Amino acid sequence: MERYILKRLGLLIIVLFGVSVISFTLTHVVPSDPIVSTLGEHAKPEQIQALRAKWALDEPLYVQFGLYLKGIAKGDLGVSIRTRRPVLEDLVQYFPATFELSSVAILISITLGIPIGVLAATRRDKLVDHITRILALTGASVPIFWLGLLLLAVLYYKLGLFPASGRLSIFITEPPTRTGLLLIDSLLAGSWTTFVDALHHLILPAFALGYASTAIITRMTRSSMLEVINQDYITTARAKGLSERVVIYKHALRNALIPTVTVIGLSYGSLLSGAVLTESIFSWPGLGRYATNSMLNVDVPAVMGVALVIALVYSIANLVVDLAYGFLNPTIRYD
Amino acid sequence: MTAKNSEVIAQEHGLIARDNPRLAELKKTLRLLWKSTTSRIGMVIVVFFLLTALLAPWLMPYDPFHQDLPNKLAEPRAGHYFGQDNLGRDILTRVIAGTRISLGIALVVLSIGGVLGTVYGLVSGYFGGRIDEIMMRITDMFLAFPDLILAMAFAALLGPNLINTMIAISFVRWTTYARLVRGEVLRLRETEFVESARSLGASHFRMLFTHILPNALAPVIVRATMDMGGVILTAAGLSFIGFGAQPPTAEWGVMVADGRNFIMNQWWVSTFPGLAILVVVLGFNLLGDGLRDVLDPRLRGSI
Repeated sequence: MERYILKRLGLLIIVLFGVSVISFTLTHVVPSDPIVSTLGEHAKPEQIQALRAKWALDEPLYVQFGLYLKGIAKGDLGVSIRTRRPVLEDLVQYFPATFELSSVAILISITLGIPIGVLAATRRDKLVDHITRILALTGASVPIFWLGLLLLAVLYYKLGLFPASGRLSIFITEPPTRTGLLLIDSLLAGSWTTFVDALHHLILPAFALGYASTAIITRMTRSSMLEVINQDYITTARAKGLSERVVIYKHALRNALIPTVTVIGLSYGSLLSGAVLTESIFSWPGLGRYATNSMLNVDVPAVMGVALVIALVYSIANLVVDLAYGFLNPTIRYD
Repeated sequence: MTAKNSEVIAQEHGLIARDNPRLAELKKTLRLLWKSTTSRIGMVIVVFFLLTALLAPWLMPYDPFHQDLPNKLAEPRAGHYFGQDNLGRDILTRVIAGTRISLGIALVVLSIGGVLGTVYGLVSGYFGGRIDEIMMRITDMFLAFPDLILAMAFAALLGPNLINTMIAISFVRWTTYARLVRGEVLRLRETEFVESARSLGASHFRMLFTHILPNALAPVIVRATMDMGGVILTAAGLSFIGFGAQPPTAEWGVMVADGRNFIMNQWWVSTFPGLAILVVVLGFNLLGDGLRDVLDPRLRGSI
């Protein structure tokens, strides 16, 4: 087990190295000039020269790449052209907002998806099952940015149930930053009102973001439950006189959850894609918007930093899934 | 009616060839597809949108770019069934025009991505060993990104426009097919007919393209059908945040973005193009799921 984790972490480093090769190559072969985007088109030649020297742009590409890697090792990802701040500082500021949003989204999907899936499986072809089917089908097909807009139109503009944008209301002061996660920071600061306000702001975007994964998790739970329910050991459990509740939730669900865990992990990755669109709709100050703005402005250092962080998060999510898989199914051997 | 629709679909997927020994199998597949309610709905939706895209110039009631400013943001009514947008353009017309763009993008992306991925997977699986190991690690690196974000990066660097959107999404999508084909090749490599071809001294090229490729193609086509919806969603999302097609293009994502500021009072501007995306993606997903079930030998008996 330990060896397996070590091996996977080793692979992770290789993948991250590859990611930095790809992002470095991409950002350095394209016809966009970081000098022009920094200084504007009317810069004096000596300014341009100074900046070229500072960023080592006159060195051969492999030297530049070496310098970049050396920077990463020291925690230096360069300075963003757009925000003029160290990229690492930007990432540390924006990442928690996205992490909080996508975590709440996946929590919503799991707490809705698994029970609904079980319900649909145990009442196969009844009304619940049909409703679930429609939910699941639209979940995989609905454009998330459109769903977000419709939710805003109905639940904010028409009904006034939820706030439209941002992480907190204007009149609420932000709690002192410890984790960057407002739900946790507000509790640490002992401010219940802030916590409620932050949660209120989270629900709509998190629901929009989590809708697709709710659908996938529901479908997967339903189909693997159906598969498990027909197996002999379930019949045995029933024959022993165990209550239906125990049979379903203790005996069947545990085995049915294995494929579900996989899709949860896979969904977490697609949540990052969805976060880009959701953050745009709900003006959420997270990594997705940072990525969008950096890319639209061809802010090379920021784009490379974002790529690295996203690849890291994505790969860790996959690793966690593989480990959870083994936890749920002890017959799996890692080697 | 049944047979006719089935044939239309098959031709669109390039599956029917005269005197093809697989023809009977194909007919059976289509018959099974038609039997399942959900895949039948999917087929109808897909055919409807394909026809709309083909016949768009004759179906559009107005010019998609014609601005009727006195009637800007006019609500849906007879003559303008989906209403008019902020420049007075007819939304129904633009939604119809958008079918060509979205379906076009998806077809181009899947062709480029499919061909690239297939060739890559063929080479990787056929030669195996060291080459395979390195080539698969390269796909891992592409898979280390969520697709939309990688496509955004490509699109931003190439410059946001329609052509670059297609290139960007193709570069993201090819890995799926590479892995799929590689798996098929690994399986086929050990079969007897491939072995006998090898023992007859067939060249690598001949082995790959006349013996292995035709047998590895079916899963690629199924997968591509299932991916159509995903590509349409990604392309619309890219356009929505400004990385894809640019205004005034009648692209659905752009149109939803156009209506963003009017969503509270003029809901129709964003709602109809978004609904078009939902329905067409749903159609492809239903068809793709049905196709997968029908072609899966374990499920085939139960349908």
